[in-house]
Order: sequence, then structure tokens, then C-alpha cells
Amino acid sequence: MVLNVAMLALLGLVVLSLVYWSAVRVTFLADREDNPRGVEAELRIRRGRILDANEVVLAQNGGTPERQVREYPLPIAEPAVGYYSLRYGTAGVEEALDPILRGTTSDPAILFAREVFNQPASGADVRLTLDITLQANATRLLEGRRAAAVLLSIPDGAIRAMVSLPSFDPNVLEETFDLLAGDAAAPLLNRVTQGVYQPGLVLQPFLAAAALEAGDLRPADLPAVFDGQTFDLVSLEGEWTAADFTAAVTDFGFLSAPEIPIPVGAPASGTVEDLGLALRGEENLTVTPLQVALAAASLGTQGQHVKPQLVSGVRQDGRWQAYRRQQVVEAPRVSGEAAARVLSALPRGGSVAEYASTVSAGPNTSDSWYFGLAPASSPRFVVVVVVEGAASPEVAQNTGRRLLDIALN
Amino acid sequence: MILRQMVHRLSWPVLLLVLAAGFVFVSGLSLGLVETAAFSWEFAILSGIWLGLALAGFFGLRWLCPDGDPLLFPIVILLMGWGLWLVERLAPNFTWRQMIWIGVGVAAMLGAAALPTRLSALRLYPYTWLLGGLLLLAATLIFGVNPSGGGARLWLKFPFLNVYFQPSELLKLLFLIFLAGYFSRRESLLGISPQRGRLGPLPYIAPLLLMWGFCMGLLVWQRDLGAAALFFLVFLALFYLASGEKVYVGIGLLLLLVASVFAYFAFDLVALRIDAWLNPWPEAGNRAYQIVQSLYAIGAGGMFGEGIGQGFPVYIPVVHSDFAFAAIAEEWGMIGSLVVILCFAALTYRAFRIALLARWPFDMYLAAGIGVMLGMQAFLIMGGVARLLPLTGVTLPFVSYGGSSLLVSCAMIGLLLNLSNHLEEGELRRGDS
Repeated sequence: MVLNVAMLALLGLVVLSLVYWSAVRVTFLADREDNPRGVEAELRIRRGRILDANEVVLAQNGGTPERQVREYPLPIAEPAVGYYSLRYGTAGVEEALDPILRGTTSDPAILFAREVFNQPASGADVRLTLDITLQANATRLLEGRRAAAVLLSIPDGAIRAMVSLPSFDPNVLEETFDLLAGDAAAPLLNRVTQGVYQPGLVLQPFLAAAALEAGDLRPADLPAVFDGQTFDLVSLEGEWTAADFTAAVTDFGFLSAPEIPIPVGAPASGTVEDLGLALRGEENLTVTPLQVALAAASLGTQGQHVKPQLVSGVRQDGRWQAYRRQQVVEAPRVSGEAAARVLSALPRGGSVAEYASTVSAGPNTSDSWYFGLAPASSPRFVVVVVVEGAASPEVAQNTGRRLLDIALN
Repeated sequence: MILRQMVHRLSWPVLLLVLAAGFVFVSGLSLGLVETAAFSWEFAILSGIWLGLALAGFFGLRWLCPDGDPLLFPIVILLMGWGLWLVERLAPNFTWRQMIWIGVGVAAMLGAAALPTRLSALRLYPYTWLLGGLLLLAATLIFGVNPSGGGARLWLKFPFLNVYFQPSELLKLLFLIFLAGYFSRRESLLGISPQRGRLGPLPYIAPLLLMWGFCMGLLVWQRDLGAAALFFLVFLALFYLASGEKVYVGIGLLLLLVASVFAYFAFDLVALRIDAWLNPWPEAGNRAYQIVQSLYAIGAGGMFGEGIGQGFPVYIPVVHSDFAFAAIAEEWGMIGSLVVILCFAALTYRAFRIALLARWPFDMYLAAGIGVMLGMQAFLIMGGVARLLPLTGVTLPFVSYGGSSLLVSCAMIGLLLNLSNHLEEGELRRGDS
């Protein structure tokens, strides 16, 4: 019967068009931006928590099962933790460990459960090396300034505090983002890893170590170099070429990006035009506080590399697993002897081996630098503090000393 | 072994009914769990009422038409149970309304099945029925309202009751009764007969044009291609059945195309739907929003679906009436959509089978007309949802929310059951047409 066949054929066409949309064009449909299912799925993801070294909660999920809300009980951890926003994306650890936090997986059993039983994705908890007490103290000491502070333990390179001011509250990011993005004080910038500063004389201890190793500086002259903190190494100008300078700053890692999961600033190029200015740290070379901290750390480890660490563990199946990428053994930055000599020659503030200086940062303004290692005899912690627009290094110095004091006790 | 014997002893219709009940219960239980995270009495009560109606219908039909087609009722009660959960899922305010309409529908089905054999009241007065339908339409033109406020005023309100009825749905049934009466009388004129040569193409062209004019009137009134196309296609199908003339069917299809082009330029709603059908993507955010969201739902469903209550079909505007099928595609996936399509294929097939085995011409045209009407309506809306066709405002019979459509579709099934109760024993009335 022709009619019967015709009707069945028409219904068959419906089947074909369904197959077309639900099998052939399924990716096209799912990936279109105006498909609300992407956002709906995102809103249901049970993101893992972010904890500090003592498992104090820094970021967690709240809200309803259909509408998860990211909460930051301690917004001062923001420079390390970053933010997670449906509208503005992610930053910091939220960005770097996003696949772990949101539970991206290729495990067929989990994918099957999610697909068939509609389970929302749930991610793993992440533990940082951060110590929220140190973080809070550093934030309080630098309150109201444009400043950066980083404290790490050596030799493991665990970052215990990472402060960048002014900061912001990631809990209200969506409401304040436009203001933050337009703010000249750059609150969205992580000054520790991305702040670009001229090093000024803070470069000197590292140049001295390189010069000692190369035999261009006599050990006997060393104490005088740091005396009063104003002496500079102009004496090297006759003996060093630009290549020597570049080799020295390369050895101390100033021309490479620290290996840390969160975004870091692009390293400087290392070209030298005026060697005299370059030796005083006032030329093309720019550094981040984290780079200085890592260079200073190697003075406390007999010249060995210190690898920065921000994430210490990921909780999988209820157990903490170490989060550590493959370690490459690298040649020391400088000989153990040179490092030890520079360390012992550094000025002392109590039991801290320290160095402080200011560097011009434009007309009528300067940035002050401080780094310290404690205890000086056998350092366990290194701190770097940068305060922008400070004529004297006093604030940076006091902050750094106080933080080392808290860390030691 | 015991199970096999049990299955062997059960008749097919009982087995189908048990399957339908299992599906409806599991769906209701799942939806209750998804929505309330606990056992819900409302779902239990709704399931119980559904079961009561299913049993009443099943045994009532066994008593009224013991030789009636055994497959129709299980299929229809399954679709109605499915539709009930869809309404609960998509527009929970209307659930009890839909439940009541299902009850009324089953009653109408039993009533139609109980009509005396040969349906003389329907058969003998085709023009009266048509006139009645047209008068109802006229009444809607004058007194019509829209329950949701704005939009086309296609409903009549029952006095003193918060109940609305869509006369154009009832017109479908009256139209079928008229066509069956008309063609059963004109058969000799259209078929191979001595008069044919004498009258030339006139007996073909005249009704064709008349019906086309009627559908154009419907189109102008409703501003929607759906109902007009449906009526015209059903007419063409029966016309072909009566005459066997492919040429005139071709002419009819051309006329339908002309009407569509006219409607495209005359009515914004039709233009919008055809534009959205041809290329929805540039207008995905506004004019083509509905169809694009529908395609997203189908894509999200995939093979097995998201599970009842767990997809996002509510992003499709008015999903509970026009887009029920998209919701099924998202939440039950390809498998669920295929079951729905198979249900309509089976209904159509059984209706044609009843037509083939009918003893009298009126029965044959009525059965075939019902088959084409239900199958074509399902095709139009399912095809529209899947962007195979432009969208039309017809409902998915038995599944979509809407009392008038449910009631009339049930009455059609009741008539089919009535017709199928006294078929020729295994012998085809006509060989090929």
C-alpha cells in the first residue's frame, strides 16, 4: 500500500534527522557558545578545595548542587590562590591546577559514571606550601603600600608566603573586575612572580659571588664590598665584559622563568649596552622578587639550585599524593665556596644575613629592595621584600626581618 | 522455564501493557527522586490513577470490542503516561489538568468504541458534520480567546468553568468523518467507471480546488501553516486512495507549495519559521532561538539521553506543547525518540491495516484518514523539532500538553477500535490502493 509506505518513509526521515543532530553534528552543537548546557555543566562542577600547608581552607565550593559558588574564606591568599570565575576565567593556582581542581580525567570508569548517571565532575583537593599565618603577617605589615613579599624555606624551595599589594577579594571579583582591571595600581598583577623591577644594588651579592669564583675579586676585598651597602662594583668595569655580566646573571637564574605552576613574567633578554649601569642594576635587566629570592636562596645552599614549590600535594582517593614535577639536577649556580663567602660577608641584622638597597624607579621615585637569610649560620628561610615608591629600605627591611623571625619560631 | 511459560501464556497486548506500565512507573519514580530527592506521594498517586485508567480502558475495550485491534490501546496509554511525566517535568502547574484530560480521553475512546456498528450517525450525514465543524470555527472567530493572554485566539471558553477548548482540534475529527462520507459516496465517480470519460478532469479538479480554498481560509485565520497543511495532506491522501491518480496528487502538492509561498510573504510568523528553518544560526539569539535550543537539546541527548529530569529542555520556550519531542530526545536520547517514532509508525500501520480489511468504504476511508492524520501530525511536529521541516504549531498527539488535542486523538483511536471490531477475516478488501 503506497500510502502506508509513504507514511513510514516520512517517519524514517525523522529518524535520519535525529541521527544527524545527535551523532553527526553533536560536537558542533555542544561547542556553540550560546548552548546553555556548557554553563550549566560548569555551574555543577564540584571543584576541589585549595588548602594551605596546615590544611586551612583557602578556597572551597558553596552554593547549591545546581549552582556551585566558589568561596574564598581567606582572601589574603589571593596572590597565590588566584580566582575562579565563570565570566572572567581563572588565575593563580585556580588556573594552574584547573584540570585537577575540576576533575578532568580520562578514566573510563569515571567518565562512564558521569555520562550515564549524570554525575557532576568533582575535582581533587590541592594543598599549597603556603602558611596562612605568615601570609597574614606579611599582608598586615605591608598594608596600604604597593609591595611584594615572598618567603620560602630552603633547601626545598617551599613558598610559605606570597604577598602582592594592593590585592583584591576574589569573592566579589565579578562585581569589581572592571574597576580592578582599570586600576593603575594593578591589583590583578601578582608582583612576586610578574612584577618587573630594576634590581639596583640588590644584584651586587650575586655579581660578587660570580666574580669571586672567576677570580676577578679577591676574597679579602669582599667585606668592604658590602660595607655600608653603598659600595658598588665599578672596579669590575675594567675586568668584565658584557658577556661576563650576562653569564653571571644567567647563572643566578635572572634570565630564565622560575619553574612554578602559576604564571610568571617573561624573563629579561640580558642584552647589555652600558656595562657600568648594568653592574649597578640600573640597565636593561629587570627581575621579579621570586627570581631574587631563588638567587638568594642558593647563597644559603652552597650555591645549589633551589626549585620553587607552591603546591605540595593533591588528594586522590582520600590520600595525599606529592605534587612534584620531575626534578632536573642542574649544575650549581656558583661554587659552594664563593656562595659561603658572600653569605658570611653579608651585613648582619641579628641572626639574619641581609641586604637592602633602593633603586631609582623614575623621576622622584624609587623602589626599595630587601632580602634576608636566616639563621645566617645555616639558613632555613629566605625572604624578599620590595616596596614601591619608598625612599629608604626601612619598611622592606623591617617587614623582612619580622617575617623571618615569625618563620623561625 | 516458568518465566517462559508465563510469557507464553500472556497475550501480546497484556505484555505490551505491562511493559508500558513498567516504563511509566520507573519514569515517575525517577522523576520523583530527581525532583524531590525522596519518595513522593504525588507521583505515586498519579501513577496509580494512570494505572486505573489503563486497566479500565483495557478491560472496557475487551468488553466493548472484543475483536478490536489489540495493539492500539497499549501504545496510546503508554504515550499518554509518557506525556503526563513530560508535563510534570516541564510545566508542573499543568500536571493535574493533563491527568484529568487523560481520563476524559480514555472515556472518549471508550465512548467512540461503543458507538453502534457501521457508525450510521456519522456515516449518513457528512455535510451536517462538516457544517457543524465550520459553525464551531465561526464561533471561535467571534468568541475566541487565548488562555495565555496574547497570541492567536483559537480557543473557546466553557461557561462557568476554567476550561478551554480548541475547536480546530475537533474540526480534525469532523473533517475526517466528512471526507470518509464524501469519498465513500463519490468513489464510483473518481474510480474507474463509465462516467469518467464523460466528465473529464472536473470531478478531480473541483474538490481539489475547493479543499485548497478551505485550507487557505484556515491558513489565513490561524496564521500557521501547520493545521492547513495537515488538513490538505490528509485530503490528498484520501483523494489518492479514492482515485489512484498520482497526477492530481502532484497538482495538490504544488498548490500546497503555492500556499506556503503566499503565507511566507503574507504572515510574519510563517516567514519567521521558514527563515529559521532555512538558516537558524545567524539568528540563534532571537528569531531562531526556539529551533536552535531544540537542536541543542537533541544533540545533548545523544544515544541514551540525559535521564528524566536531568537535562535542560526548559531552555526551549513552550517546550511542553510544541517541543515535547525535543525534551524526549534530550532526556531519553535516541532510544526514547525511536520508541516514540515506532509508536506512531505502529499506530499508522495498524490504521492502514484496518482500512485494508474494512468491510465498507466509509470504514476504510475513516480508518485510513485517522492513520494519515495522526501519523502526519506526528511527522510535522517531530520533523519541525529536528529541523527537517519548518516549525508548525501542531501538537505531538497523546504526548504534548493540551486537552483538546488529547481528547480528539483519543476519540480517533476509539473509532479505529470500533472499526477494527468487525473486519473481513484475513482477506483484503482492495489489493493495491
